[in-house]
Amino acid sequence: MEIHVLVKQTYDPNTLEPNPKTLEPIYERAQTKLSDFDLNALEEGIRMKENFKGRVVVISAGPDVKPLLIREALAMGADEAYVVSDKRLEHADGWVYANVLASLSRTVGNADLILCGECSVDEGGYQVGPRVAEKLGLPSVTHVIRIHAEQEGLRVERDLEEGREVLDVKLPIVLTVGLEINTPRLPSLLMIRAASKKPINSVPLESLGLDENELRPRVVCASVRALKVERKRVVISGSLDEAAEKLLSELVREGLVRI
Amino acid sequence: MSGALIFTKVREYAPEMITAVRRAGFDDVRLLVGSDATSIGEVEAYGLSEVYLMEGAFSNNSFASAVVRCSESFKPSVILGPSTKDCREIAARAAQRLRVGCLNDCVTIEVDGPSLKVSRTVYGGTYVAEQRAEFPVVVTLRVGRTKPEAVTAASKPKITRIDPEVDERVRFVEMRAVMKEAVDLTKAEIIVSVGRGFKKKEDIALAEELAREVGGEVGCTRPISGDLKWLSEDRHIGLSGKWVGPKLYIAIGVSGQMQHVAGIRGAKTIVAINNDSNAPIHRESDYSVIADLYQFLPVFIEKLRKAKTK
Ligand SMILES: Cc1cc2nc3c(=O)[nH]c(=O)nc-3n(C[C@H](O)[C@H](O)[C@H](O)COP(=O)(O)OP(=O)(O)OC[C@H]3O[C@@H](n4cnc5c(N)ncnc54)[C@H](O)[C@@H]3O)c2cc1C
Ligand SMILES: Nc1ncnc2c1ncn2[C@@H]1O[C@H](COP(=O)(O)O)[C@@H](O)[C@H]1O
Repeated sequence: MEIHVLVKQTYDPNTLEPNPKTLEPIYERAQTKLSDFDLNALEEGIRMKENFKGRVVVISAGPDVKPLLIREALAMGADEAYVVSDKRLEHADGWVYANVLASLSRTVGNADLILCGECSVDEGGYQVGPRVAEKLGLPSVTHVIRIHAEQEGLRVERDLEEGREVLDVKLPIVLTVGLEINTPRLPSLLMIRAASKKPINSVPLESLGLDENELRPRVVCASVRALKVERKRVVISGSLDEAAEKLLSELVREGLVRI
Repeated sequence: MSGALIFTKVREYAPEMITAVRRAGFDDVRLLVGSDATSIGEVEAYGLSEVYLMEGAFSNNSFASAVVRCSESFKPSVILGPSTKDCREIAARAAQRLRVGCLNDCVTIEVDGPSLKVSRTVYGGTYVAEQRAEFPVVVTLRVGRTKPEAVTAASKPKITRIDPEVDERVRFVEMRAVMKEAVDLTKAEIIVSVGRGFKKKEDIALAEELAREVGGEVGCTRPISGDLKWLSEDRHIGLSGKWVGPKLYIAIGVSGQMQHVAGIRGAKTIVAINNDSNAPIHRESDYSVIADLYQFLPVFIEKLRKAKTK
C-alpha cells in the first residue's frame, strides 16, 4: 500500500508571543513544529503500513521547510520524504498549497491512501485535504476517527455534529483526521538514529508543472492580531473559609451570583 | 457584486446564513439545500429568489458537485454555508473545482469592493486574522452568531430540483447516535467547567451541585469528554468544541491550555480554582483560588447555600 501523509510545518502558537503594542505575532522568536493533527495522520499511516505492508511517504511544502522537523516525521516510522521548500510559497493559501501538494504526490507515485490533518494549527483552513482530493480526482472523507480495512477498500467512521457516520469507501482516497483517532508514538532513540539515513528528497517548485494561475493565492491576509482579553487577575488567598467567603462576596458584588 | 448562493446540507442553518449575506448587502440570494419541498416553507420568509432542492442520499463529494453546478448557472459573488464539518469539506471541494478561494470557519464577513473581507481565528485560536478574497469566493460562517431575520413581503422563490450525482466510491452505511444531552452552552449565562483536576467520574457531582446552586450549566475540557467520556461531547469547550461567552465561567481543575482558553475568551468574568499556582489558567482569570478543589468546593457550596437561606 502506497501511503502519502501531508505534513505541514507551522509556528507553535504556545511560543508565538504578540508584540505588546501592535499585538502582531513576533514570528522571529517563535518555535516551529509539525502541525498537531498531521502527527495523528502520520501515526495512522504508519499503523496501516505495519498491518498491510507498503510504504509511508511524508509530503510537505512551505517557504522554508526545516529538514530537522521532517526527520521527526521519519523517526516515527515514515520511509522517506518529498519536500518543496521555496520562498515563493511565503503567501501561499489553500489553493496554492493544494495544487503544489497534489502535484508533488502525483510525482512521487500513485497513492492508495493520502492522509492529512483535518486542519492546520496556523491557518486552520479545513481545506487542503479535500482540495487535494478534488485536484487528483479522488473522493475524500473528513473528520475520520476510525479506519478499518475491509476486503475491498475501507470502512471509516466520522465524528459529526449529528452523530457518528459510518461509510464504506474505495481506494484511492484522501482522509483527514484529528486528535481522536490515535495517540502519535514518541520515536525511540533507535528510530531517531535510523531516521538520519532515510532520504529527504528536495523537489524544485518548477518541476511540478504548475502554471502561474495555480500558484497565485486567492486569499490575502491583511492583518493578524492577538486575541487578548485583559483579566483582573486577583488572587484570592487565606484559609479555605476566608477564600470561599471572599470569592462569594466578589461574585455577589459584581452581580454574577444571586443570593 | 452579484448574488449570493447559500448551501447547506441541513435546512435548520439556512435562516441565519441567508440573514448574514443579506446584512452584508446581497439582495439576490439563492439556496441549495439537501431537503425535500415540504420543509422549504419555513425558509422562504428570509428572502430567496430561488431554491435548489437536492433530495435523497448523497455524499459530500456529490453535494460539492451540486454547488459547482448551481454556481455555474447563477454566477454568485459569494457562495456561503454554515461552518459544519460537512459543509467545510463541501466548500473546499467546490472552491477547488471553481478555481477560487475558500475561507472556512469565518467569524465575520463583509463586502469590501470587489472582494469579501472576513475575520477568522488562526494559530490555534490565539490570534484573529483579517483576510480577503476576490469574488467569487466560497465561505463558511460559524453558526449561532447571526440572529435570523425574516424580510417583510418575501416573494415565493422559484423551486428547482437538482439530481445528486452518484458516487460509487463513498457509500453511506449508517449514522449512529452519540450521547447528547441537548445542552446549548453557547447560550448559558453561567458555566461551571470540569477539568482533569477531577479524579473520578463520580466527583463531577461536586461541579453539578455548584452549577445547580448558581443556576449554571456544566461544561468541560476536551480530555473529560473526549478521552474519558465522563461528560457528553456537547459540553466540551475550546478550539475544537464550543466557543462560549457566559457572564461567569468557573474553571475547576482546568490547567488553561491555549486550546481550551480559545473557547472562553468571550466570558465576561473567569474564576479559576486550581491547586497549582503556576497553572496558566490563573493568568487568564479575574479571580483565582489556589486550592484543592476537593477541599474548597464543599466549603464554597456550603457558604453559598447559607447565604441564600439567610
Ligand atoms: C489541536 C488541539 C486541539 C485541542 N482542543 C481542545 C479543546 O477544544 N478544548 C480543550 O479543553 N482542550 C483541547 N485540547 C487539549 C488541551 O491542549 C489540553 O490538553 C486540555 O485542555 C487539558 O485539559 P485539563 O485542563 O482538563 O487537564 P490538565 O491539563 O491535565 O489540567 C488539570 C489541572 O487540574 C489541576 N488539579 C489537579 N488536581 C487538582 C485538585 N485536586 N484541585 C484543583 N486543581 C487540581 C492541575 O493543577 C492542572 O492544572 C486540544 C489539543 C490540541 C493539540
Ligand atoms: N504546506 C503544507 N505541507 C504539507 N501538508 C499541508 C500543508 N498545508 C496543509 N497541509 C495538510 O492539510 C491539512 C489541512 O490544512 P489546512 O487546510 O491549512 O487547515 C494539514 O493538517 C496538512 O495535513
